Amino acid sequence: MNSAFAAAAAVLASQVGLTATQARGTLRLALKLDGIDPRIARRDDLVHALPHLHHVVATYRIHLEERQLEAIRTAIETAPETSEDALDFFKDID
Amino acid sequence: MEVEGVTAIFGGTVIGAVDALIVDRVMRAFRRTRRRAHLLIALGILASYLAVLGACLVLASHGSPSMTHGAVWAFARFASHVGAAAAYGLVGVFAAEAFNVADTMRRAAFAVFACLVALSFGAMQIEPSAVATPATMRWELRVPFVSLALAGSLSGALHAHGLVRAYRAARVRGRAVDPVALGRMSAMAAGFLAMALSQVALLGFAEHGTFDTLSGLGLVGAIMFGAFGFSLACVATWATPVWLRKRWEVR
Repeated sequence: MNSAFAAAAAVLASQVGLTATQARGTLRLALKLDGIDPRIARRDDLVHALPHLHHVVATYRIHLEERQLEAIRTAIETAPETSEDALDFFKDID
Repeated sequence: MEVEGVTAIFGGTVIGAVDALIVDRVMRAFRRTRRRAHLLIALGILASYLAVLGACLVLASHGSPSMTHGAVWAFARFASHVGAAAAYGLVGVFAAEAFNVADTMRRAAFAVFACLVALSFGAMQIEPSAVATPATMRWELRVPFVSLALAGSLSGALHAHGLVRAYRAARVRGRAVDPVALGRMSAMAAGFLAMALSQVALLGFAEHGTFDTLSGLGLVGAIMFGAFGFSLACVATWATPVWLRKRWEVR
């Protein structure tokens, strides 16, 4: 889990009243709906998957407002892009 | 010298040379990047060489029965049991570190490593001294030994294959993915499967049996083939030949 994902999950949990586990699961599902494997998601992928959050949180009977979505977007965009990508290990060998 | 002794010395020397090459490359990468996963795989390779030394001594003892007792035999048993357990366990710990899995899985991989080493020490105490390797331990010990070993290598293989698929899909969608890094990850994924093959072969031997039957030799071949596959994956990853690099780059 990179820092952008962690930041988005934390804001999502606090904004709509989900637990941390529910928030992470919600984000993972949104990424999957966008065709991205959550294990390799980066900041851009998270931003791109945000529109799917409306459908996913609806399963908890929660309506996600635009200002809440904007808060999550801001959290993602201000989080640093970390090098916790699994491929980096194999890239650094040379 | 008996043919078994010559084979053991030749095998031990060749495998030692290949392992030394890989460890040298791994340690160069560790000194440059300070990533812990390099250190873990280097320790795993050293542990596997300890197991190889034990296996070579067991093989040599077929030609020299005087070796089946005393300090040499005690070392052969220790190296075969603890070396194999530590190597299998460290492979799982390496996979959890290199493939960036969740902290819970990393802790689980370390617990598997600790259990394997503890099991191997227990087996050395419980089994009669004629049982020199985990391959012919009693079933009550061998089944948990193989299950724990498989848990490490198969979870590594599954995670690596999942990541390779995910990166390939992301590349199709336009994400810049380093082809050589992806090739290395793919090679390691195949290496973990090869390692799992050698671990499953441990279940084929008769309890307290010997290796000098046709089926026994076939199973030894499967173990060697799996270990060789994992070594090749390590070579492809840490000492990538130019032709392989070019092949990955044009894909």
